Amino acid sequence: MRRHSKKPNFDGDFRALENLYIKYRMLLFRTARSILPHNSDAEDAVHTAFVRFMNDPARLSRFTDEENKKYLFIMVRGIALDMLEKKHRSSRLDAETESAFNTSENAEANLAYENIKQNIKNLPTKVKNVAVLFFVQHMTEQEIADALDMNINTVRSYVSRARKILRKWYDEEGSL
Amino acid sequence: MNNDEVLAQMLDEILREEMSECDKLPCHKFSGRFERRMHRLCKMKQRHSFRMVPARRLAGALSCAFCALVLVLGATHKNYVIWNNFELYYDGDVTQMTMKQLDGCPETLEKHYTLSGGLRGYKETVLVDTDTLRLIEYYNEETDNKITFFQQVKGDVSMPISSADLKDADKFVVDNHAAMGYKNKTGEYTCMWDDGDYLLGIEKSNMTKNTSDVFTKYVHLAEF
Repeated sequence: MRRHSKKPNFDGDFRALENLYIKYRMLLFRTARSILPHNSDAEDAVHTAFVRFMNDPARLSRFTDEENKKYLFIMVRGIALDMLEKKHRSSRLDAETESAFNTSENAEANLAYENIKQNIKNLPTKVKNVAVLFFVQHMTEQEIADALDMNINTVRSYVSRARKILRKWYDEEGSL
Repeated sequence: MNNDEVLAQMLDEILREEMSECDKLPCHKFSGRFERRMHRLCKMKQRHSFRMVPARRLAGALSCAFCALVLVLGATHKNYVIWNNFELYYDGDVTQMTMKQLDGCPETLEKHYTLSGGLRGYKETVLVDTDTLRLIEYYNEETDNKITFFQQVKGDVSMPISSADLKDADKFVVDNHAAMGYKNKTGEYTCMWDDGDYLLGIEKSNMTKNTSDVFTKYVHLAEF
């Protein structure tokens, strides 16, 4: 299912890392800018994502170019949300979490793969970020906690909640 | 396919769709400050593996680096050091450098400096050329020598430097201006000075503060 492109060699390879930055910086900036109100904040978010990205050299050789792109996208999205929440000092996520997890009354209406996928899409962004890194990129809970600057118990909670909700929807809809 | 595999497939599709949606947003012209920060960050990856050093050794090295910074450059605050117009904020692995005394300083590069003229056999390549930052590489194919020269608006400076590199930082004078210099693990020496208007700098291997004036004297105004 996963398509693999040639893994880049980052060992001491400044050019390869810079190419990664140049290739995806616009996407990453746009991602941050879609969340944050100012260009400078979005640039800071991208910079922070690369600082964290380079804190684990082993990861660079484990992931392909495409996987690094997804990983950076998730990181920038998480960082931008954190920055926004700090600025507004709000608990947006708690409210989002509650509304997303209380959709059991809609579950009966979801019959097809696309409907279930739409429900997953409606999960809070932070839960989706953790779910992508766990289920798609096969990262450990500790690695996710480090990457997204989260408490590991929070990561475990999100993974567990995502699994429970989706298993509930999946079981109710039967096999696909 | 089990539940986790189906979930992974859905999440992957959703991620691609969301990335595609973000890619439709308007283009952005990155600031010189950001370009500079990213360039230095990428170069630091070339030289260092941040987490490869055992924790105890790293803690010891950082303690020494911090003490050395405080003693050599003068401390005004526990994690914050000011020397002349150089502000250094120590934050673990990375020390963030900014400039002070910005009143009256240009907010864009109103004039361009260059190293060319005195360097024979070097090919000049402009790597970054924005309103607030110019980064030029000079390369001599015959000797395989590379010199990097930068000129930056002082208000735009936000430079991450490895704290370990700053352990034996030098302070000296270039052209009657306060200068700071440090050497990284791969042997490249960076010499930076505030000429009043801009932050100027040269990076080269096999250079020291004593030999840096051989190159700094080549800095001159380009035809603009």
